[in-house]
This record gives sequence, C-alpha cells and structure tokens, in this order.
Amino acid sequence: MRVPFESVLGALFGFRVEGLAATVIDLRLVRTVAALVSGASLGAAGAVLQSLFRNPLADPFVLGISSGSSLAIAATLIAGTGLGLIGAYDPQALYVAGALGALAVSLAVVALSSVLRSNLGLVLVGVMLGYLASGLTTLLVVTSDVERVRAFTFWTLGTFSASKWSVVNSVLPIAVGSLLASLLVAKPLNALLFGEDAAATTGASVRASRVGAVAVAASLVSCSVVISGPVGFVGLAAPHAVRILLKTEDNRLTVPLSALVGAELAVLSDIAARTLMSPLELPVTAVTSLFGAPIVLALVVRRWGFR
Amino acid sequence: MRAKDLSVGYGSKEVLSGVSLEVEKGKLTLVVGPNASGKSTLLKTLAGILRPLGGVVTIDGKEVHRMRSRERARSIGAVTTSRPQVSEMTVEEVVGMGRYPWTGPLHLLTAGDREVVERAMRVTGVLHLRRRRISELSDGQLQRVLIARALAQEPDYLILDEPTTHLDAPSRIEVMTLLRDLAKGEGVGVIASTHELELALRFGDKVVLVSSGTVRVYSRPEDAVRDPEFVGAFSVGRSISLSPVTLSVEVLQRPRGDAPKAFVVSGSGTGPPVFRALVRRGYAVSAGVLHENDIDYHVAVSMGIDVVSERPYFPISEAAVREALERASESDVVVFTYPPIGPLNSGNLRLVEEALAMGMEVYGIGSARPYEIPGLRTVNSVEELPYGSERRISVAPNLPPWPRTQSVGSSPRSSSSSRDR
Repeated sequence: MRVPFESVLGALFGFRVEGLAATVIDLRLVRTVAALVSGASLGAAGAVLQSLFRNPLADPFVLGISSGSSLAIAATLIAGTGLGLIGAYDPQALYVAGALGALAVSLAVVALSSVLRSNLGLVLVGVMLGYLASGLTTLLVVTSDVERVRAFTFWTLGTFSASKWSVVNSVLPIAVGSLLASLLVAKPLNALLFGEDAAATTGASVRASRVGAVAVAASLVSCSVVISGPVGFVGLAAPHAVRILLKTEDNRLTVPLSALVGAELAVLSDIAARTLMSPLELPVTAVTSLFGAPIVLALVVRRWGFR
Repeated sequence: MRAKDLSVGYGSKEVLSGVSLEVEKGKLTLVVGPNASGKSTLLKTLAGILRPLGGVVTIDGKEVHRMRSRERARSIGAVTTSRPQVSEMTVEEVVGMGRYPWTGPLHLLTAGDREVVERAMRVTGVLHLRRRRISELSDGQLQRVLIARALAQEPDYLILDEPTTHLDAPSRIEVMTLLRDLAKGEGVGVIASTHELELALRFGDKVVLVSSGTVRVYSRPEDAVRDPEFVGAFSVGRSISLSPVTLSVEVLQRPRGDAPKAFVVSGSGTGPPVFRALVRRGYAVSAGVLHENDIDYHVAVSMGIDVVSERPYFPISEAAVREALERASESDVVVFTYPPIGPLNSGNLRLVEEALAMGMEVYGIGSARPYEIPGLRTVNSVEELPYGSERRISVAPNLPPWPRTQSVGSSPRSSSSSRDR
C-alpha cells in the first residue's frame, strides 16, 4: 500500500497519523526495526564465527547454527504450548531455547573442526547439520496441529513479514547486550589469529576465549532467529564487505562494523523482498541467497581454485 | 628461569624426562637436537603452553604453570612456529598485539603502550616497516615482526621455536644476531631451538642438546663439541665431526673399499679445498707432513683424513718424511698444493722431490704457483687428475681422459658409476 510521504514523516516525528496509514506505518516500522536488530546480530555473529574458525565461509546459516536454533525454538513452542508451560508466544523463553539450540550446533561444529583439517569440509558438515535441523523442524511442523504450525512456519523460512513489537521489544535488550559482549570477545579473537599457542603466550586464555566467542555467537544467532527465523548469508556477506572496505582483520573493528553492515543488508534485503515482485512478497532468505550464494562461490573459487 | 627435574610430553606420552636447566637473563641459550627429539615440546612447556608431566618451571621461585596467563605473558614472551593469519594487518598493529597482557578489555593502547611498541620495533629493526601489511613482508622480516610482538610484552624471557627455519641464509644470521643482541642489549633471557648446528655453536652462550629422551646442558659450546654424545646425536654412524677449535661441522670421508688413494702434501690453509675436492671425487685421502698447529691439520683430522704429523714449531724430521714417503708410495696419486715453505717445513719439499725421484705420480695443483719444482706435473684442479692410476683406468682403454667440464660438485657415486662402465 502507498502511504503519503507527509504521513510517514509525521508518524516518525511523533505527530498522530489517523486511520489505516498509522497501521501501515506501524507495521513497516516494526519490520524495519526487526530487520535492523536481526541483521546486526547476524553480521556480528558472522564476524565472530569467521574469526573463530579462521574460515572465510563461516556464517550462522552456512554452519547450520541458525537452523539448530530454529529447531530448538520449534520444539519448545510445540512442547511448551502442548504442556501449557509457556504462552503461545513468549519471546524470551524462545530466545533461551534458540540460544541453547544454536549453542548445541556451534559446539558440534567446534568439536568437528578439531577433527576436520579442511575449511571446506567444515562448511560441508555445517550445511549438513543445517539440513538435519531443518529436516527435523519440518517433521515437527508436519506432525503437529495445524494451528500451532502457523505460529512458527516462518522460522523455517526466515522473513521479517511477521514481526511484532512484542517480540522485537523483548529481544532488543538481549540483542544489544550480546552485541556489547561481542566487542569484548574481539580482543581474544585477535590474539587467536596468531594461533592457539601464540595466543596463550600473549596472555589470552584460549579455552575461555573460544567458549566466550561461541556463546556470544549463539546468543546473537538466537536473537536473530527469534525475530526473523533463519536468514541466510547476511552473516557471511557483512564481514567480507567490512574487510574489503577497511582492509583490516582487527576484530575490534570488523565485529561492530559487521553488525552495522549486517543491519543495513537486512533492511535492504527486506525492502527488495517486498518490492521486487510486488504485490507478491518474497521470503527474505530468497533475496539474501541471491547475493549470498554467489559470494560463497566466488570465495571458494578464489581460495581453492580450479585444479 | 629454572626447570627442575622436568618431564614433558603430550597427554600420557612422555617425550623428555629429568630435564634440569636454567635460562639466564642476558644470555642466549640455543637448543639443538634431531627432528622430533622434543625440542618444541620442551620449549612449549617452558613457555607455559603445555603443562609439565612432572617437575616444575619457576621464575624467581614462582611456578610458571600456576601463574595467571596475563601475569605469565608479562614475564615470558614467545614466538611459535605457527604462521599468523593476519595478512591484512600492519606491522605496527601486530606488534601492538604484544601489549595484550597490559591493556584493558578493548585493547586500547595508551601513549605508554605506543612507546613500548615503537621501541620493540626499533630494537628488532622493523620500525621502517611499521605501515606495511604483513602480506608484504619477507619471511625474515615477518620473523622479526613476531619477535617485536613478543618483545612488546616486556618479558624477562623470550622463548622461540625454530626462529630460523624457512629463512634464507642471510636472514638466519640476522635473526641469530638479533637474538644475541636482545640478550646482551636488553638483558632478556633468550632460549631458542634451531636446526643450525654451526649457528648454534657460534651464537649460543649456552647449548642444550635434546636427544634420546633427555637433555644435556653445556655451559659453553666448546664443551658440547668435546662430548661424543653431542656429536653422535647429529651423525648417522659417525658421518660428521665437529672441530673444537673451529666449531665447524665437517663431513667425515667414507671412501669405498676400492677407492683410489690420494696423498696430499700441503700446509697453511692450501690443503682444505683440495681435501674436500678429492673426497667429493671419491678418493681415499691421506696427508702429510703437517704440523699439529697447522690449520690444514685441524681440517684434515676433522674430515677423518689420516695425517703424518709433526710437533708444533719443530722442523719436519727425517722420520716423518720417511713415513710420509711410505704412505705416498701406497697411493695412486700424490698431490702438492704449493704451501709457503720455510725452515720448519722444508722437509715437505724434500718429500716431493724424493717422490718424483721414486717415479710416483706427483701433481702440483693450483693456478697460482709461487715457485717451481722441476719435473712436477701441474694441473689446475682436482678434476684434471686421473681418477686413480692409469692401471685402474686401463680396464676400459678407450675411455677418454676426464672431461674438463666435470662439475666440482659431482658426487663420488656418480663418478664411480661412470668409471665402472
């Protein structure tokens, strides 16, 4: 729907806008804020993961962490509402579940990364874990009542169209806290760039640093998934954009700036999802895949080349 | 820094035990030993990266492995073998990372921190590279940057694992010189492992041998060289020797049973190049008469060459000349290197003249001939000598004489195989 520009300005600067226009502005505003928060979380999480795994292909979606989070949320929702433990929609409970799901997959990836020698192997494992999680999520969706399913179908897809103030408002402080925490893991992540042994000798506690980084990433991913479901490739593209623009590997810069770029990317992708095929609306993951997948391909070709 | 009765290893696998050594401030301690002998494991344990399986490492009585990582990083800096993945960072940023144990949670550098970083770059000679990216550095420069980073921790001790591996020859010397300067100039206690036996012996104040499950500490490199265990750790079936005088590594000659024999008459440094060339060509070499204080004597002995010798500063005796003549007559070829001749070694001139008179094959070798000996055949290099006597070559009578193009470095094996044709 078209909303007059004056009404938009009026709404943004606190004048009352009457009727349908007000509703539309409210809907769009919450969507935008949701995209900003989700995108920022994904961007920062991607930067942390890429540095932690020293893998340019690491990303919450690629490594299956988003899907794991989504699965945990779906399971909690079904089990919780079935048993009457949580309300139909308690974002903070879902955040905790999502964070645990993200953590579980992250730890699985960490464990496997110490076995797997190759970066591509790790990505393959992550993608498979992601498929496994979304397979299980689909299984849950198909086998449960139709009414409950509707509540979380979007978590398997990733979109900002279902955003609500109730969710965004309760996740926002957690997301801000996690983003601040991501600034604190930047220093030990920098030390880890020199290798674990070297990091230990500069005064970093290697295990604590890695655990901290994984926890922060899992929390960020969960914030994003609770708001928008698993949105792909934002966490991959944002840190690369930052590194190309700034030519730095200093995580004290790449992590916060990836959050900014991630927020930007998410909002732009959402606008594209709404307008490209208007009045049809695309899931935002479709849009992010369109730019994200080529980036992965380009990285793979550039780094590992044709033989 | 003291290690007392240390055992080191991974998990339950003990690599070294009974290790007691002291790393002293202001001294460069170099750790040598065969591959996979446990050098890295030892250094990692000293640096606090690995927990010891037994025993303790202490600094001023404080146990290294009980220190908090920050506290430890302020007294021990280390350079490991892992390549940092910071290709886009600048030299200054990387050296700044060394301030890690001194900065707050956001790693913001104060003016004081920057001063330390600058000083670390200056003493390691990378100050002019401060704005360069790591990807633009040579291996030698990168190594110095990593040393600067460790130094920026302001440690009392510096531990380096193989800092010269993968470097070209000049960079190796540069890095070793830097380590020595850091020990002497900055008063840091430096301990480093290396594959370069000769560099270790020349640069080390102290040498530590890691071999067959334990360590031996030598407070002077000369002591290491005198220890047969030390030499044995580096040679397969006694293949090399170490000279306690020159601290140089020599490959012992190991002639085949049927190798042609050469007897060299030399002195005052004219001999070693000829000894080496003959050994490379597959000759069994002996020499004489050499004074025991002649450099040729030291080199010959450390190459495993039989030497007819004379006491220092005594004229060559008649007995020595006769013994040398006997040895020469058993050889296929006698080589004379035109050493300077004075009253003490004029016996060698008589030796050559008598050998000629006896009809031995005597060759004068070298392009610069300060004097002439009548009847002496001359060649420019060892390559021009017949390989063995005519009698040996006559097995294949049509074989042309040794081509002049034969390279100096040709191995005895390949020469002898062509001789067997």
